[in-house]
Amino acid sequence: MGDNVGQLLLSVKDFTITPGPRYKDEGSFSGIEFRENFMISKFENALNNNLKLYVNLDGTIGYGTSWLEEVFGGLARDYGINNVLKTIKLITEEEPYLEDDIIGYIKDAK
Amino acid sequence: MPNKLNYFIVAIATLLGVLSGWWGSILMKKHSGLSIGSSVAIEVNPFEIITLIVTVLLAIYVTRTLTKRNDLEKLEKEVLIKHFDSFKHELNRKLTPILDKLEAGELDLNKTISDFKIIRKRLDAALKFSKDKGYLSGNEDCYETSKKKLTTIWEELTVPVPKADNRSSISKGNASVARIEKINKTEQELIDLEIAILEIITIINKK
Repeated sequence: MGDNVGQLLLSVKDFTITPGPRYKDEGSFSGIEFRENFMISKFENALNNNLKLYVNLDGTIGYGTSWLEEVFGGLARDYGINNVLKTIKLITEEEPYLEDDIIGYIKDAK
Repeated sequence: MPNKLNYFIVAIATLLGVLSGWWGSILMKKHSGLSIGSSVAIEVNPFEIITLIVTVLLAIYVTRTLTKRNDLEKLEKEVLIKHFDSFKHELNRKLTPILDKLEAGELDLNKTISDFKIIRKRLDAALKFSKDKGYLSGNEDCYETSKKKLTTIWEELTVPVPKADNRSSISKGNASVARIEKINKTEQELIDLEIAILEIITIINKK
């Protein structure tokens, strides 16, 4: 996870290679744990300094719906859909279709 | 077997051709004023030579280039159809134990997530390859339906059913009903997905 000029990087595999369920009490490496402990500080830094936060989704065993919704939908609920869409950039070479799924979760966040 | 049958048909057709030619020449001698000369005139006609060369070159082009290209396209189509067909089988092979475990309330979320990464990636790659090679345009209903149905199944099976325990307000009966609802919805989506794959195979086959 290195920081370049104008962009911040966040790799899910640095958190875990087995992203789990939505809530902490449902199992290990939950979405809420990732968002609160790993993502929010970087996201706020990027948002406040008008930077892009690149989230690298590669290198894990895969993702469940509830984990992705909690991370990205949860972020949109807290910071607004437009702020998340303009700040977050996704890197997903292994599963390119995840980008559409995640953008859907951000736009549908209520 | 089809090759042997083809050789047999060609042999019969050749024999019939020779016989009809022989019979035709007898009829011509008997009933017409035409006759076949005993000497052959040899002339050099430049147009005929050019025609002959072009014919030979065409024959070489057709047999070496066109036939080879057609064979390659046919092979590519067959491999692609086999790929979609084996995807359908793999989907069922991976989903059956997942649904069994879900019914028993023992779903392993990590294993399910891992299986779906492979399944979704495989379908995505096959659809992209078919589009890149021109077998699918990407605007077909079955193209979008197959992706949507698999996404719905993934969404259905990677959201855990809340467990019935002392801390949860969900009763054992309700958790069981929720699991059965998930299985039922998944199986319905699976039927639609299989039909979409069949439509894709049909479209590729027609190309």
